[in-house]
Amino acid sequence: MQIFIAVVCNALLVVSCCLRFCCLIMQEKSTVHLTIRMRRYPPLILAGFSLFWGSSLLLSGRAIAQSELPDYRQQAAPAEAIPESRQSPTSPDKQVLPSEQVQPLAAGQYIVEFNRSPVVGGRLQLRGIYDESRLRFTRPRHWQIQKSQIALRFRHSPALYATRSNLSVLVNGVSVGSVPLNQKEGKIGTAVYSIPSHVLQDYNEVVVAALQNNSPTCTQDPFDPSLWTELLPDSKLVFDYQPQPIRLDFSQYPFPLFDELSLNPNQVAYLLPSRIDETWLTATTRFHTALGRLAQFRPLNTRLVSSPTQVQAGERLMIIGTPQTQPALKALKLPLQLQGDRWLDEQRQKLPDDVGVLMLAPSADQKGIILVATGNTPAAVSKAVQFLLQRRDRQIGSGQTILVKQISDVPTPPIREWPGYLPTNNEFELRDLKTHGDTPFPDVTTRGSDAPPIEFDFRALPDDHFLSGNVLHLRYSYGPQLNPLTSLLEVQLDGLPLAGRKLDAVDGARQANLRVELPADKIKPNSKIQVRFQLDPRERRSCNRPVDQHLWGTVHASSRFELKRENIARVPDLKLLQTGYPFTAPQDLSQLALVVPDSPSPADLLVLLTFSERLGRVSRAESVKLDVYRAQQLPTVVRDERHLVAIGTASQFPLPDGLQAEGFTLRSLFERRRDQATIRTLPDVEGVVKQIVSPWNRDRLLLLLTAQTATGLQNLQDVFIQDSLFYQLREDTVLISQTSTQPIAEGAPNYTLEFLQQAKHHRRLSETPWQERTWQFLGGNWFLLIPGMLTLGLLLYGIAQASLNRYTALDKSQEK
Amino acid sequence: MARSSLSLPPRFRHWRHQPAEWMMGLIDQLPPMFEPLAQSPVFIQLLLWGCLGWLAVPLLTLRPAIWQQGIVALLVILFGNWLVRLEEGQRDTAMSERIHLLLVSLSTLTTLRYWYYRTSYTLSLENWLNSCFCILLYAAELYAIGTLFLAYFQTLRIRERHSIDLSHQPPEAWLNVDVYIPTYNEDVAIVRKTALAALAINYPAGKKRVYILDDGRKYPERRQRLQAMCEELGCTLLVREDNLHAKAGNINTALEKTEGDLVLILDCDHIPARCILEETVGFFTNPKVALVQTPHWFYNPDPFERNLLTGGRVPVGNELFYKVLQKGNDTWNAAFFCGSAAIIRRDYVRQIGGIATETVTEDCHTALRLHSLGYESVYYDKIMVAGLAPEKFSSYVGQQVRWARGMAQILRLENPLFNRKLKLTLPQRLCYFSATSHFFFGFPRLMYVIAPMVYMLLGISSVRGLGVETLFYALPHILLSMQTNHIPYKHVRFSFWNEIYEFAMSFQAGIVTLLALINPKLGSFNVTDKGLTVTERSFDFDSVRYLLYLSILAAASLLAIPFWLVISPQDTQAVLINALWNVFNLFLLLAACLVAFEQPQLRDAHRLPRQLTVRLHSGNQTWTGITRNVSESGALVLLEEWPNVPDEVQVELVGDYGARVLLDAHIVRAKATPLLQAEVALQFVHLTQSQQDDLALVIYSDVKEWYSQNRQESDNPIDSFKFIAASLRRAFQEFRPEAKVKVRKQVSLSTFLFCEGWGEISYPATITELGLKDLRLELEAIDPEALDVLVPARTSLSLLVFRQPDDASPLSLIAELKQIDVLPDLGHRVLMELSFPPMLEKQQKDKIRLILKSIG
Repeated sequence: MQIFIAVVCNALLVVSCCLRFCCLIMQEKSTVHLTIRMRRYPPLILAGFSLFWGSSLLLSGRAIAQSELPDYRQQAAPAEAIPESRQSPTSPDKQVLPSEQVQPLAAGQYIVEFNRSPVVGGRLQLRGIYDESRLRFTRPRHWQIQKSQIALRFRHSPALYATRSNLSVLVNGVSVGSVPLNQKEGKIGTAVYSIPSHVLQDYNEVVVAALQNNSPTCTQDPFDPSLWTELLPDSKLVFDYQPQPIRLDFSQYPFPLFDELSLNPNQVAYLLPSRIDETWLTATTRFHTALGRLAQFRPLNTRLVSSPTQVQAGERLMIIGTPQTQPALKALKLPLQLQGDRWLDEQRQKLPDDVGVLMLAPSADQKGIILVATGNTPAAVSKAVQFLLQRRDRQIGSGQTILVKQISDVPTPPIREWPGYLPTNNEFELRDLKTHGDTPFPDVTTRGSDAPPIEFDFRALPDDHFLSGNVLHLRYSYGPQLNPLTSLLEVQLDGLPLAGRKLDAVDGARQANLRVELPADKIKPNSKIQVRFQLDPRERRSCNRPVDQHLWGTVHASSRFELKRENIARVPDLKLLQTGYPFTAPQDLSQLALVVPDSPSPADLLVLLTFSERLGRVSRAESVKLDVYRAQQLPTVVRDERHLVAIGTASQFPLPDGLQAEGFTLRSLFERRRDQATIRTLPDVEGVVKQIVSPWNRDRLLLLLTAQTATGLQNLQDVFIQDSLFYQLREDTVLISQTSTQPIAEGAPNYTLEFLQQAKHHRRLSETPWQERTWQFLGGNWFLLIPGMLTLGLLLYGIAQASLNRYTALDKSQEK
Repeated sequence: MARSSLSLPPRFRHWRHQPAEWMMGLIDQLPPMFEPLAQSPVFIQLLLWGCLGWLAVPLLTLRPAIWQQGIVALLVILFGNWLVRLEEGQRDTAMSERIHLLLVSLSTLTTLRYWYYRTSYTLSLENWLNSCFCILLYAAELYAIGTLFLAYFQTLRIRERHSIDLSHQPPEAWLNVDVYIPTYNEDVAIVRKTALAALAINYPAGKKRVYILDDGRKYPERRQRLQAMCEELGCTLLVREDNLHAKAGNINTALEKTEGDLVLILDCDHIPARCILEETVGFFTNPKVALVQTPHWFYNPDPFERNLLTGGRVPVGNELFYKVLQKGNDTWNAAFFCGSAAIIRRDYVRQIGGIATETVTEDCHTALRLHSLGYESVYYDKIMVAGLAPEKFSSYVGQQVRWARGMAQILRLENPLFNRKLKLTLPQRLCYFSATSHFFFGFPRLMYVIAPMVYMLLGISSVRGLGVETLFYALPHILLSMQTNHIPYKHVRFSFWNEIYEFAMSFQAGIVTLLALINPKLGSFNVTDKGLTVTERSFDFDSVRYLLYLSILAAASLLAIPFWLVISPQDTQAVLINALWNVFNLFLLLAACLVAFEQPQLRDAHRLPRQLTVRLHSGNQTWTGITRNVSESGALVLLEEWPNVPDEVQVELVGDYGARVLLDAHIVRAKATPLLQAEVALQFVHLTQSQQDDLALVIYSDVKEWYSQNRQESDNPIDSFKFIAASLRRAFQEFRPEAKVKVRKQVSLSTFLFCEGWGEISYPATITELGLKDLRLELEAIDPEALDVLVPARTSLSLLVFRQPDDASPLSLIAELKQIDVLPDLGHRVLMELSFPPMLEKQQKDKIRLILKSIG
């Protein structure tokens, strides 16, 4: 499967060079994205794009769903980043203290080279009379760009007519330069343009546009293959930047702890407490889960430190705990003072036990930032952390210090209400689906003859099992003046054409309806529906760009879906974990408990953090409510009622009972037998991810993350860090082994994943009532139809015959 | 191996029969298990049914993959088939009914499964045109499914009645019976036969009176003849001054004038059997019984039988009703009055204001009212009237249209299913609803033809996604319902004939029922023409005009198949299914159209395959045999030996109860059967009125059991469809009258032969065969020149016949030469065939009879 996806992706990459750019940028671990618009092969490119996000995990080690991408329209920013609460009044429940700044880091240069990706070796071609490609990148919040340049290296067709062919560069709509395409045959041209600093914004777009003609008067064929220009992969963007001082203020949260515009991965470190307890474990894990949610597809480097002095430049240190558990707090210069082990407020009064404290402080060298979540009691610490997890609460937080007296109780969402996925109702409208900006899907119009398709997510819940009879009643309109012979409307599901209709009303149509059958077996948790309008003008002019912007097609938000589905999932199946299921149901993770050894090692903790970060990335909710326990502290009720994730090396595994459970023999993984000989084949560095039905509750799952050694656990950790590994998970057991001694940071190829299906029987998990489950059981076993119908037929017969006998007997007795 | 098989326990030895035995055991044992539940309170029963319904939901709604559904369909059909075979081996009717009920259960489940699938996945409501056809077809299917379920209900139990013997009661205690024979414009001869038979009904004298109720005041001459006939026969003619409410009004008027306890109502062409009252009046010992209905039966072929030339191999249209549905209705005390061949209790009918007059099917309406008052009806399945079916298709249509209109009127006016004013039980309501909604088949039937046609011609898809999957859902529904219905219907309605009956009537029934629903007061009673004779082939275009247009369109739509397959290969499944559907429809449509292709009637009178004792008298000899068939004009008689008779004999026919008639008959032909019996075809000649009356009584009245009471042929769907398809060929075959083989008395009479061309010379000859119309003689020696003079068909010969060798007064006869054969191998013997000239018949016949008599 992996190979197949890779082959498909590579094939598409050859066709569409834009993917190379994307991968390149992804490899840079930046948030620069590239999309491309090519006039000649729009469907192919679109198909490439649709697959790109799913396959990029293989190529660049980062999983990105397009739905998670921010909107790159100018001046747009993710909802999370909009500082709408910056000027919000202080809540009566907390108190704001004045803030200070941290010193900026040293100035530097950042280069985005187009050829960094190991899988990109080709070129980006611009074809046709007019073509353009787009490159998108962000500007980190605290960077002041002093100088930026774009250096393009290009080669073009010798057939181009120099005075009518040129290459232009526009940045955010501002033209920064143009060069005639007049190189001699085979020569490589270079164009270096400065980008005015004022043009650059938080979200930027570079457009490289090529006008290509092969005739002084009229290029007859817009699809002439001789019309090409190649941008070579050693083209680059160069920034000279000066980092700015960062104000320590919660009003821009998650900045400065996390910068979603950063071109480099955000660095996070947690200070280990003197004594690890459930409070620290739960609070840290919840906080890290929330960071995962904020990061979405962006990389995040995490480590554990034992002293604040170990913090590196640019790294954010999180200190979570009371002064007793985090003695380092006493040595830090913080806005609030300590008296003994108790915090004092600004009036130097002792803070009540239930008040949580959040503070931002510079590190000792004034170049790092420290987040302190503390309080006089463990409960206060938890409250402080919880404040940051709940968007509604934290949006009103500002200043350097926040005293959290009370936080709102965020109710747990229904178990199957997953934002970004399909609504739980079987009948809904397009407007019930959300855009990337989390707003209802509006009426969308495209213009032009080869406009990209209108695309929307159609993500099935992981436990959705579709029956046949799923229908989309697409409502659409289109304008007049199109060519009725060649114009069409096409609906695709993940690139698979489902239905089409000729657009043959010369005067256009309003609110027309197209019924589209959605194939039951093709709707997946990462599906997308594309609606493509192929709008051809009635007359095509030969020597100009075709006039097509007057052609339009609209998909109405009133388009209606009718689905027929059941709610059922066959477990254990690690593939479901790709969406977080079942741990992310409900999405605030309130059904999840993680268990670590009584004395967790740093390796255990890092697995815990990376796993929770991954759950954060794949879930969306207003709060995080998971719990973490040490083995001995795990309450029986929690063990019996929740999904469990147990983390630890084999020798210190927190749930030894789980190892004895049916279907799981850890021993068989670590030892392999042949005839009478038993050998240990599992290398010490091999990690195991295994999912079983919880031995304490057949409707709950137990995920075991284990290894023989800490190194094995480190390998395990990478499964959840690297998208390329995580999105390969399948079957019920995965063995992860390192194939080379190269540093792990080099990427996925260092690992080999072995997938095993050990459970002999699958269990069906479902949130539906037992009556419906009975039906689903029958539904899943069609062969029961025959005995079922015969049995029911016999029952009907028996009862009917008995009633008939009684009627006849009565009749006879009356006759007598 | 042998040892091991021998060591099998006895119960395993017949392992092949184990599944069948096991199933029979299950079928037998299952109902007693549920009897406690059946006797439990209603709410528990409702709960039980609710649980069953709940269990059924996933089974009905599950939609597996296509191949999986295919397997389900196949297994269900095979199981159904197995049950049908199991039933065929049954002699016990109770077990047969149980297997039928099991099949009903299974068929209900498969039908509901199809219904759910059809509703959920195949409604095509994309645009108004598609939606329109889709909804119409869906409604048609709903009607069909509703009808199917109602039919299942009606046939859950078939009630077999036995007559109640009256002999233990003194005749004085028997109820008085009036026999009503309403008439309007029918031939007096037809009424006469009915009146005669009515008078001959076995019932104590003084307890029975026969009334002719003549409503034909517009035909005074006919009325006079009727009056004369009544006086002659000894019955009473009742007339009235108006024709209000037609037959119903006529009877109602008579009800006030007569005084009998019971009234036997007979259509004027329904000749009753002698036993009709003895068999039926006993049921009235139950004081709640208001009505006893017996089946209608027609001794002449109806248009379907005659025009499709079924030769009596296919049950006629009303057999299903009278042999199954009425008996099923009777189970639920819902057997209804059919207008004739029924005995009603006069007082009860008067209680409801007489025969109902609001609708044109006054009979059913009257029964509805009687049931509503709590009275009971009895259906006794013994054919005791011999009636005349409409001869022509147009008359048949007229009759059916009247029933359709009447039933629709009852449905509209009385609403038997939901009308709270009617005090009917739920089963009675269902039975009446089934009966009154039956004639709405017109438009649904047409939709089945139109749906595939509009797809092929216009691309309008009435069933969305029609394909193999649809078939896999529809086939179990269709085939299992056929298998289920096969059990009660196998002798009374053959596969696909229902479709033909309905197609033939679809337009007329559709329009009439629609109009009756809109305005139930439209339309009047029309008298069905009967006793007509079709003499030559003709096509009744008017009756099947639209059906014919539809057939042409259906045939034309088949031409679109190649275009579809080439232009739209993705629709291949739908096209092929529609095409097959269309072909199937086309056969049925053409067969239905052929019903209007009137075939000539070959015989003067309808032959009844009755087996009567017959005696042939000729001279002093008598031969006894039985009739193979008999009619008012002749008979086919089977004799154990070849009778040496001339071509005219005297025949004596004896009825089942001993009634006799003596007739002169001409022997048309005779032949030997493979068993060396003699089969003699007789034609009755010189019938006097009294002979005709006696003959009618023997044939129609003196009957213990009509031959159609039990049909031996069973339905076989494939054969049935083949037979229907072959009707296209049969209908255009030329008729060939059977070759006549002459019958003459074998004699040896000396004669002399004279001829004008021979002068004074005469030749001796021997008459070897002699009949009343011709003879055969043999000459041993004749001058060859004399032979040259003889020209067949021109030469007249004179014969001098000696009755004895020493006959002093030989008789002379004149005959024409018909044929002459010289046999050189036999010494130039000459054989001559002579016939007596018709113009001398009067003069010579007595002489011939004298000769025949003299030789004994």
